Amino acid sequence: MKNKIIILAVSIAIFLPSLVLADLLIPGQKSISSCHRIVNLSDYPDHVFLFYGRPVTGFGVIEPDDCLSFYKLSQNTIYAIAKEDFDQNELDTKQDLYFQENPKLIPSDAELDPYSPISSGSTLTDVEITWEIKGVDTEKLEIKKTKVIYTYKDGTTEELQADPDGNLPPPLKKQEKSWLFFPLVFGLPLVAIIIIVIIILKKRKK
Amino acid sequence: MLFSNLIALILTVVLEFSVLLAFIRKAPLKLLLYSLLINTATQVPALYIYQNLWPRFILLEIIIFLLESFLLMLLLAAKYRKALLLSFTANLATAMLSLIFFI
Repeated sequence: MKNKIIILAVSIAIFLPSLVLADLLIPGQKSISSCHRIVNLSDYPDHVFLFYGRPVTGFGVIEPDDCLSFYKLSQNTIYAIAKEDFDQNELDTKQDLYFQENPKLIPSDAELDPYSPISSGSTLTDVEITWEIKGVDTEKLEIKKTKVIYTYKDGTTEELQADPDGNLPPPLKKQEKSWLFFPLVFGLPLVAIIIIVIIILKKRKK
Repeated sequence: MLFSNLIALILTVVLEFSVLLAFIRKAPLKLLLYSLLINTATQVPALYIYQNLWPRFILLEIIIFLLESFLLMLLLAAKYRKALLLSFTANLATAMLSLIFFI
């Protein structure tokens, strides 16, 4: 029994971290493309806006037409900096240090997470999240999610507004189910259970 | 999705049957039938629950492992400890296969 417990513990120790830590999709999930767009950058011509993602995504200047995609395990955020304080060479040279040492950077509390992975049964193919800058001063960049555009496999799209706190509603379009779905998902297991019960009852009679 | 679930079910039945046969080494047809019945009863609803209602892979695997050990004990008229070991080995193998299959 002791050996079995050791085998069980070792198996779980090998198996569990791979589910929790590894960069993998677990069964029943899939990745879809998602991106973040800031719609009113041009309203703030005196500032430069930067994205910064650790440990993988990197950094860069956000252009008005950009829809930013991020690596799923990165933590990504946005900074602003007054145009007269921004030096592209300094950013390119210092890279990560630029974001840690520059006192003139104006932080935001925006977290730009990828909208993925999702259930493999979903017909979603793309998600575009729209952000709007609400204000920027010397201390803080205030930016909020305002809407989301879901695109489905059949090409249709769905545009939904975020709530006042910036929470996005889930996609409304439900997954289309084949006519085989209910017989297979509910009928087959029921038949199997009935046969198992019959076999067990027969065995008991013997 | 239905097709991939069906493939997953067939692979699971084959793999769990192989594990049962490796341990028991007799009555292969009966073991294949039991493997088919048990996995149809447990894995099909589990996949549905996982993909639509409750995406907790390890917890669902543990519930399936316990349910299958109970069914194996009744169908094989085996002691519960042996049924537990059989079910654990079979489900560990299929859980690993499912990770490879879906990655």
